[in-house]
Amino acid sequence: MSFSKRTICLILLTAFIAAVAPLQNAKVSTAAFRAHPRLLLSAAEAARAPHQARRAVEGGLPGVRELISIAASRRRLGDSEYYYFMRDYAFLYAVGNVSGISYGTSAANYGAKALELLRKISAAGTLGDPADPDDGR
Amino acid sequence: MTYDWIYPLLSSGDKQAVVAALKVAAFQPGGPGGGKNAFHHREVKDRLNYILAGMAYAGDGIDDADAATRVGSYSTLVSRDGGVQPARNFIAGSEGGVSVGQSDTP
Repeated sequence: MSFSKRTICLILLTAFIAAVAPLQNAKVSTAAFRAHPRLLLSAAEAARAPHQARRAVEGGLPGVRELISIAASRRRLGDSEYYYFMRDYAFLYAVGNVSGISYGTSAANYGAKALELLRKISAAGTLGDPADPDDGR
Repeated sequence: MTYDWIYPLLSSGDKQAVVAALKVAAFQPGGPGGGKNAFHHREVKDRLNYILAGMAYAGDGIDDADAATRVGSYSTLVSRDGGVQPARNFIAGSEGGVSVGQSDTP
């Protein structure tokens, strides 16, 4: 995927996750997501968002299903793109399983892998995204 | 984003480590009057990263004061005179377009 496509996907993912971040599934409780304080959403709004998001996805919201499929298709690890995998895995964990999407593993496993990568990046003290040429300071 | 999306999985130690890393990676930008102005692509990124990092850990008890400072800097770094938004509007006005993309800026 080219950088520009990644950027577009990232923007769309960000917009989408703003609506679905608290989305829970069988493995992720609503209470767990409510534990994270929100700057812009009230508790009532956060509670409604999962239902609205799932209806939107299952109702065929254009592009969202494709974005989830792209994220779910990422399997490789250990190369310079693992930042993207970390975000994608975290995204898949947050959204949970959507019917009709082929996943490589469970939402819980995606979350665990995202956590592993986040720990690795934090420990490395890495600055920014290595795929972004502007990050050279 | 990852910090937010997998928040339920993070231990207290994880949060401490990530916030510490975010503070380093998303350092305080020069801001108005700094070495780079609001047209400079790295200054733009530094300003937005600084604020976004604060949004990520706002209110989670790790360093709420720092997060509040970052989020509260939006008007200074972005929306007011000397901020990114007026700079982009200036470019848009000069080029007769809209303020998305500015590949011809320094």
